[in-house]
Amino acid sequence: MKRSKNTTKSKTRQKGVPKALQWRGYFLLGVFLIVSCVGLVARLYNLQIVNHERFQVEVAKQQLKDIAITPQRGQIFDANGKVLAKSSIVWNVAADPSQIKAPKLTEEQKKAMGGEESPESRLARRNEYVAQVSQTVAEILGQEYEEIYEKLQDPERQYVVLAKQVDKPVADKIKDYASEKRLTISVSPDTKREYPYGAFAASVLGFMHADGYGFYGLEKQYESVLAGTPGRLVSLRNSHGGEVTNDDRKEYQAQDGYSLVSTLVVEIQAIAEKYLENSIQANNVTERGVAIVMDVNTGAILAMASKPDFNPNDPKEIHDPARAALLDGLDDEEYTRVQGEERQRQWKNKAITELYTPGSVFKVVTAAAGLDSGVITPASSFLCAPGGYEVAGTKPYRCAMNKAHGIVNISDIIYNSCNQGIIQVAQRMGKDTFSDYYNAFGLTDITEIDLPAEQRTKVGVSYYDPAKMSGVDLASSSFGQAMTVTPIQMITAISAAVNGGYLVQPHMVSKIVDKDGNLVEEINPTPKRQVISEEVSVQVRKMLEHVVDFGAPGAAGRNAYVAGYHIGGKSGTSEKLNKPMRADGDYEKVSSFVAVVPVNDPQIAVLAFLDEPHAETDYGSMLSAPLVGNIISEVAPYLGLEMDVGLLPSGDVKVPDLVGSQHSEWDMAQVELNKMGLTHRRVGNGPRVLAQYPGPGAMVPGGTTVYLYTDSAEIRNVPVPNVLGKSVALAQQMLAGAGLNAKIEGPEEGVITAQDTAESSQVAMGTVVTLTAEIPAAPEPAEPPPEGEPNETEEANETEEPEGTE
Amino acid sequence: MNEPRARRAPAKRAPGRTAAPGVPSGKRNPSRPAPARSAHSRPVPNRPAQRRPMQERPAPARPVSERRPMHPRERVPKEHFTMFVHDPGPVSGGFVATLAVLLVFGLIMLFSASYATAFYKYRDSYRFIRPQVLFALIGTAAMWAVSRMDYHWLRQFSRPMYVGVLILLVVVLFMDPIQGCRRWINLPHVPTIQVSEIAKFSVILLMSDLFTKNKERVRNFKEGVLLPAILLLPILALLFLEPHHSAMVLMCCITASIMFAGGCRLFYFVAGALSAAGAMAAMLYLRPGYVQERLYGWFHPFSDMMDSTRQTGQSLYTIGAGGLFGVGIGNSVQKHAWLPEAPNDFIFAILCEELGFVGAVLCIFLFVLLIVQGILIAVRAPDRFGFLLVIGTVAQVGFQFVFNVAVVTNLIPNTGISLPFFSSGGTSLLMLLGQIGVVLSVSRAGNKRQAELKEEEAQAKEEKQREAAADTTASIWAPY
Repeated sequence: MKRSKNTTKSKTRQKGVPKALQWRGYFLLGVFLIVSCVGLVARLYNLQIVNHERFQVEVAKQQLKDIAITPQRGQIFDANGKVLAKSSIVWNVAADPSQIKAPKLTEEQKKAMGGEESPESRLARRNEYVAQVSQTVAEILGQEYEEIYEKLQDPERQYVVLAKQVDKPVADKIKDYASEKRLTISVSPDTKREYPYGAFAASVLGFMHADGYGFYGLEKQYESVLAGTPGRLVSLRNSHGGEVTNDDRKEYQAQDGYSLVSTLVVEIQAIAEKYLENSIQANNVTERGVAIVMDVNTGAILAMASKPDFNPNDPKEIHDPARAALLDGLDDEEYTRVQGEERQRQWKNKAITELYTPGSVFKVVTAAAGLDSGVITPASSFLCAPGGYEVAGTKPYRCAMNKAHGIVNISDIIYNSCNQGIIQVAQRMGKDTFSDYYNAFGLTDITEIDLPAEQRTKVGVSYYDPAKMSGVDLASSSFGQAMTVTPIQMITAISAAVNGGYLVQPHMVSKIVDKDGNLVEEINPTPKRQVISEEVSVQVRKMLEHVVDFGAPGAAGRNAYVAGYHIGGKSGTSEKLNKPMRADGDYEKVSSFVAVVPVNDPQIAVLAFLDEPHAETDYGSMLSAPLVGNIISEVAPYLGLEMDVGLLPSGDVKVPDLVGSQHSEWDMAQVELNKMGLTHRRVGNGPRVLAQYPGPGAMVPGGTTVYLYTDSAEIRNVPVPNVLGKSVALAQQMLAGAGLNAKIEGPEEGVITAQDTAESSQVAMGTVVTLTAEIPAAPEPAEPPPEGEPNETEEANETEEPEGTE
Repeated sequence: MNEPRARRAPAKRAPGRTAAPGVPSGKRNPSRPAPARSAHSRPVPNRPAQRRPMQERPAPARPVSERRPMHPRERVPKEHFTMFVHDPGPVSGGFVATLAVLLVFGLIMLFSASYATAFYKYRDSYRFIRPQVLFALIGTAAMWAVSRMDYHWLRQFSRPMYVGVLILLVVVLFMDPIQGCRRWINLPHVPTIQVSEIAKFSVILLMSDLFTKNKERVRNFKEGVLLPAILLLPILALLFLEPHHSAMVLMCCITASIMFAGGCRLFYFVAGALSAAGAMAAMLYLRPGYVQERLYGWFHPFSDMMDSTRQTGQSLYTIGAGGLFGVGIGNSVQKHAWLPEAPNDFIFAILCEELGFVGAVLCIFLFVLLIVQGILIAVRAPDRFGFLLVIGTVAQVGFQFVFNVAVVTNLIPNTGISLPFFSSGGTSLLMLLGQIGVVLSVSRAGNKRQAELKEEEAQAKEEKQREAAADTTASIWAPY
């Protein structure tokens, strides 16, 4: 109709679209409507409604980001807050070599290859690319190019660790490079454990396994405390692994680990390690040595050293050069085996993991038991006969060097280390009482010190079962030759014998604190039990002091004496009957010594133990006693242990000859000086004293430092400082700092008015400079207070003394 | 050759006017009243007039035609096809409204789908949306300007533009490739231009022109099938070299639509469909392994999620995860580098995830609405040329939409086809809006024509009534 009208009526206008074509347009529309409305919508319905859950699960699976948040590991401090172990954040770098592909070809290159690239060519190009990448990566990581290339080269591998524990700048650099080149290199945070002191208290601190947990020592014992609780992050991630912001994010913060405050004191540990190492070297000790310093009243371990040990920063390295040399020239299999053994050996904390035969040191326990059980009194007497003491079933027991001590009481027995006497004491007790006390002193059970792998003593192996104990067994046990104990058990038992009878709990950690230093837990273990009475304990102390006897010649413990202190001790030498004999046809020996300072009011016990020394003498009194004495000579002043002024030499002391004598080993020289109330300073690192100043025979005041030259015999000169007008204490300090000694004439609280050597003049190190002190006269009214002060301290001393002896 | 000329001669002389002789046909100067020619019966002069421009080129008058501006006859058509129409007529409001909604919807979705990718790749969340908004603004302005143009004016450019596009398609082959393909003219400091987008419009223009010109002979094989095929082939060949397979498919579909709507015999479509099916069957029979290999990923979209089927597999995950109402606009997690090409070819999947089935159906509905109104504009076009232009443009949008959604839902194998108004791409959006401007121009002319028709109808009615009133008695009495 329209069309006809158009043509007829409106001739000026186009006639429009022919109907047939319009229908074709509608047909196209119809096809489109069917396809989109039916086809597409049906497909979407199928995907979004019917299969929704399935796809939702798949998507959730790939998008889930579920990662553990590593907590910061706690630190380990010494008793004064010095850091023994700490953690820092480092980064591990890993790569996925399978994702490194050959760069895409340009069209021209593809054409040049005939459209399709051969697999060989692709591999060659990939290798070229890997080489290029390795170059840069190696540069960033500071590693060898070949090593990195080797790791990245294999297109089958999906995970290789490129570097462990790198610092933040390196990690950042490698991250940037990876994102720039679109490389699948992952950088993940990790913690690194650092031990600032290196090979120091190593067997106590322990070390970390490569997988990040404590493997030995305190690190293992307190793993759960130090490690903290890992946190967790549950969130959504993008395909690169990054987090996508979302509402369902759940983060549980990691709970950082707590820190340990150890009972160790770095200074004391350092002293113990220094002398122990020296002794081991000087005496050619082959099975390592132990030194323990323990607070006898609380059981706190102030120092515990096993030497040679290892560096916890690199525990796998064989630290002792002599032992590392054993590995030289071994073939692969043997190398691995020996290396494993040597590692185990150096890691072991000998103080708690190895049993030894205590020898004569054990006589203290037998004596204490005898006195406490009442079978003997201090006055009881025993016969030590020249022919030895007969016990049914074996040849007569003799004392060392076949000595006969005659009629002895219990104190004499300990002083002389008399085997015959102590056997009789044990026999008076009988095997049951003896075993009861053995048990009560904690020698049948572990001490439960807070360190891992403490060796347990076994009945029938380490000690005799009382039910099966024979007379011979009892006799051998009485002087410590028939049982084995750990050093920590021994020092704990000795502590109980002297501290009033209390068996304390030895422990390494006094406090657990959080990362801000707030106290979480205080560890104050109470004594387990009272083993002997206070009275018996006092008697034992006296016996022990007698052994040292203020360094008197002939006393077995004389070498442990340090002038000014009440020191008690007992040496022990035992034979390792189960080991092959050594070259000189004698048994391998164990030399040990235990000392208590001050013995009239016990504060600390020091135990030293050398396993298989090979020196001129085997006796504990000659090997371990000097070691203990030297430790005490530094530890006692450090701890400020009570001195008995009466024990200090009055007036001037004659300097002994240390160069030519039997004491020329520097530690023995020091022992001589210890006994005399002199101190020393070692110049150089040699084993023997080559020169000394002040020289032999010089008369010097007590406390004077004798300079011992161990590298060369040349005596050095130093300039004298001007100390005029200074206080006495300051003047003494200044002279000591300059390498000189001071002799004060005049009141201690005065001011120096004269010095006998002029300022700046060059004198030999160790020269005694005589200073004249006077009390300044000017402030006259000020006199009463200075007078009052010493009075007060005197009074204080007087009031303290009775307390101490109580 | 000679015959039409001989026939033309009298027709030319017959009017005997100086102004009229150059007028090629009544169809080509529709706005000019030609009372003298209207006296002719249309079918007779039309045919030769239609052929003339094609035959004039090889004619010996070539040296003269080179001095065109001097020749008085040649100026005539230019006066007639002014660029802008003074009184363009109203646009179809519903179509423009639908378009506006789609455009805004598309920009919002693009921002949502692209910011994550933009940030991961370029550390700039606005990397995709910023130029897109700019192009949308420029495109809208261009669309409005084009809509006020006389679409016949464009017709003269059909062949120069075709040649120009061919040249550009050769030029891109010498450009630096982007992601291994040479589809863009990428010069420094200038936005990249995807030539295939221009080529689409050129093909639409050329084919519309062709099927208008040859309207009487489109049922022939030569004019209806062979000629379009020959013209399309060089474009397909150059696209193949880029390579840009999806554009090839689209070109074919657009051409086929214009052929179909232009009146090509249905027999050829049936024959074409049959031969395509036969070719596929032959492929399946002769090289089943090859086909299977190429289509393995289509049938097993989750078989190689790390590499070859990652796009399709992740797309299905993304769509499926949306459910009925989706995870909410902006909340897609799949766009965080899980779904490749999220801002481009797979933007519809992100739409499905964020807005769910409801949003996806809404989006489909908007496209359907646009296309329905587009077809209505086409059929109401004042002439065949306008009709075909609109059909071509609507077909382009429709096919791209259907193919894109079919790809992301894995109904057809994966080829890179963008979603109009949604996918990131400046040239595409600009050209699309320009083409929509042409559609609007046709709609204006159509609406104007409809309005005039209505007016005339009303006038005619009035006249009839008047006549009827005048002859009341007569008519009343007529039967008697």
